[in-house]
Amino acid sequence: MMIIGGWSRDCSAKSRTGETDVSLLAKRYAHALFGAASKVDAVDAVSADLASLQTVLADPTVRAIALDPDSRKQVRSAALRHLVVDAHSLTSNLVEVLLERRREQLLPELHQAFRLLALAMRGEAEGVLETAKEIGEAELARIEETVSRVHGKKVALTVKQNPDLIGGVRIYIGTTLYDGSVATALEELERRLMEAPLS
Amino acid sequence: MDLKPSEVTSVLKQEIEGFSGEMRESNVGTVLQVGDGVARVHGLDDCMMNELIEFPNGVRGVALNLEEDNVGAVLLGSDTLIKEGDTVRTTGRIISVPTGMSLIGRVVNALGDAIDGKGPIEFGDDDYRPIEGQAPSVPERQPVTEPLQTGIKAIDSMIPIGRGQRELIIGDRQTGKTAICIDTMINQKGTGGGDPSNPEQVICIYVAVGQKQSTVKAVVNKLDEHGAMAYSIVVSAPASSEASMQYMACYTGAAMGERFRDEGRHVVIFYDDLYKQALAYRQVMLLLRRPPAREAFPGDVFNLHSRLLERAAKLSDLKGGGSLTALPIVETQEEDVSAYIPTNVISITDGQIFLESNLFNAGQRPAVNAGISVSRVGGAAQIPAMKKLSGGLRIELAQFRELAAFAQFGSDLDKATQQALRRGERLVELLKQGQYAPLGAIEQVAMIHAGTSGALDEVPVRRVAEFEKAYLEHLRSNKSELLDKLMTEKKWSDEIAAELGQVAADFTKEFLA
Repeated sequence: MMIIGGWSRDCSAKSRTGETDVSLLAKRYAHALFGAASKVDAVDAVSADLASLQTVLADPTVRAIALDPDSRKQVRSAALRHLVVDAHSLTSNLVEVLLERRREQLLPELHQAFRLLALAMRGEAEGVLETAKEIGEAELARIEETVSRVHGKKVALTVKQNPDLIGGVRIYIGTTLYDGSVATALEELERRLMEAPLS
Repeated sequence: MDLKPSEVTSVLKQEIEGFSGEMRESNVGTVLQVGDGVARVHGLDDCMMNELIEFPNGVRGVALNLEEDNVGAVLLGSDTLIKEGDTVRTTGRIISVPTGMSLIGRVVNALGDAIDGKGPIEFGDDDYRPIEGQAPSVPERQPVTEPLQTGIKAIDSMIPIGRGQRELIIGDRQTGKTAICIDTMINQKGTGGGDPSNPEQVICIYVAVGQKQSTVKAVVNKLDEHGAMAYSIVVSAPASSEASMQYMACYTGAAMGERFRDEGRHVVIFYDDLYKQALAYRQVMLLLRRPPAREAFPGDVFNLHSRLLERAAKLSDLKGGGSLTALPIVETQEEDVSAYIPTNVISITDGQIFLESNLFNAGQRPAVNAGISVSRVGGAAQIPAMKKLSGGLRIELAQFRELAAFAQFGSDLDKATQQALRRGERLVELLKQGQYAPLGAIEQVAMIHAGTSGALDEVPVRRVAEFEKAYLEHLRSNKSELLDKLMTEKKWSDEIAAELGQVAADFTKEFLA
C-alpha cells in the first residue's frame, strides 16, 4: 500500500462495472507498456501474453510460488521468467522490470489496465447497463448503437439487473453515467416539489 | 414552480403522463472518505475545479482538490447525510451564486439562500455568477477620483476613501471596526435618498464571516432602524456555519457586488472579517491535506485575499464607470500589525485605518490613530474644500501629538506651544463622533473649518460637542445659502473662507455669552 500525503493510493473502490478498479500503479505500468507495444505494433501480442499470465496466476498453487512474498526471491523470479519464456520480448522485459522494482504483485492487474488502453486506442469502450426489467438481444443492440453515437466511442455493454431503478435504464461507461431511470426522475420530481414555494 | 396544495395531484398526473424517459448525462464517482466537512471521491474524471458536485440527500459540495484518481471536495451541507460508497455526480456548473436587485434588503447565506425568514428570493437564470470572478484588467479601469463619504469626520478628512479603493480597517477586538462599517452604510442614504433604484444610490453589502449570530442580528436591526437595509445586502456565514461557507461568503458578496459594478452602479462592500475567513480556509485546506505553510495556513492564503480584493475597482467609462469599494476588516491580537495575515492584507489594500484600544478606552471614539493611518488615494478622492482644510488639520494634530507629553507643564510653556496644545485638544475633541450619526460632507467642512480657523480656541474643551451641535443647527437654519454655496461650488476660495470665518467667529461670541 502506498501512502502519499496520508491518502492510501491503494484505494481500489468497486466501480459499478463490478470489477475492482485497477490501481494507479498498474495503470502507470500498463501505460508505459502500451506505449512500447504500440511503437513496435505488438499490442495484440502483448495483450494476449498478459491475458494468459493473468489466467495462469489465478491458480493458487502458481500464485504461491510466483507471487507470494514468503517464497524466496530466486524462486519467484525463476518461476516468473519461466512463465514468459515463450512470450513476446516486451512481456519478458516487463517481468524483468517488475522484478527489479519489486512490483511483481501488479502482474495480474496489468491485463485489465492494458486491455482498457487498447480499447481506448481503437475508439472503443466498455460499459454496464443497469435495468429493472429484462432486455432482449435486439433491444440491447439498439441501445449500444445509440449510446455509441452519443458517447463518441463504440460501446460494448454488459447487462445488470437492478430492480431499484423501477423502470428505464442507467448506463455507466467509466465515470460517465447516462441516467434515464424512473427512480432518478422521481427523485428529481420530489426535489422540485419539496423546493416549490406554496402559494 | 409555485405550488398550491390542491394542485399536487394534478402536477403529479402531468409528470406521469408527460414522462419522456429523458437521459441525463453526468460524471459519477463514489465516496471514499467523508468527515469533518470534506469528502474524498473516487472517479469524477471530468470534474472541473470549483465545480459543484451533488451528493445524496441533497447535499452539495465544491471540488477543490483534483488529483490523479480522486477528487477532494468541501461539503456545503451536513456530512452526516453522506456515507462511504455513496454515488456522487457532477453538475457541470462552477459554484455560482445568485445576484441582482432582488437581493437588496435581504439577509442571505454564503450560497445566496435567504435566511431572514422573509421567504425565498426569485432569480432568473442569468442572475447567477460564479463566485470566483476575474478582476478587471488594467485597461478596464480608471483612477479613483470620486469620494466615498463615510460620514465620519476623522476618516473623511484625513484618511479619505474613494470609490473603487480598498481601505483596510484594522484593530484589536472591540475598537469600533464594525461601527465604522455601520456608520458608512447609514451615510450612503444621502447618495440616492435611500432608493436602490436610483442610479446614484450607493449599494452596500455587508459580509459577516464567523461572527455570532446575535451580533449579526444586532447589526441588521441597526441598519433597519436607520433605513439602511433598503439599499443593502447582508451576507452572513456565522461561526456555527460550515468552514466552507465561511470561506466562500466573501466571494459571494464580491460576486453580488460585481454585478452592480458592471452595470455602472457604485457599491461598497465590507468584509467582516478577513482573519476569520483565513482561519476557515486553513481548516478546509488542512482537512484536504494541502501542505501547511507558515502558521499552518496553506501557501496560497495571500492569493485568497488578493484575488478577493482585486475585484474592487473603479471601471473605465467604456465599461460603465461603475465602482466596487472594498473595506476589509482584520482583527489583530495585541495590536500586532506585523503578524502574518495583517501584513498580507496591508500590502494588498490601498491604505489602512488603525483603531487603537488605548484611544478607545481614553474616550476618543472613533479610535482612529490618524498618525499611522493612511489612504493611498488621499486627496484625489476628496471634495476640494475638504482637501484644502484637511492639510491644516493633519499638521496641527501631528504637532499636538508631539507636544502632548508637555501638556502637564501647563503655564510653564511658551505661548506657541500653549497655543498648539490648546488647538490640538479642541481638534481631537472635534473629531470624536457618536455612533449612528454620520455627518454630511459640507457639514464636516464647516466643522473642520471652525476648528482650524481658531473659532473653537476659546470654547472649553468639554463644550466642543455642544458647540458642534449648536453651530450646525445655526448653519442649517440661518445660513443655509452659504451651505448650499459650498455644496454647489465645491471649491474653497478665499471669499468663502472669509465668509465662513466671520460666521464662525460671530457664532462663537454668541455661544460663549
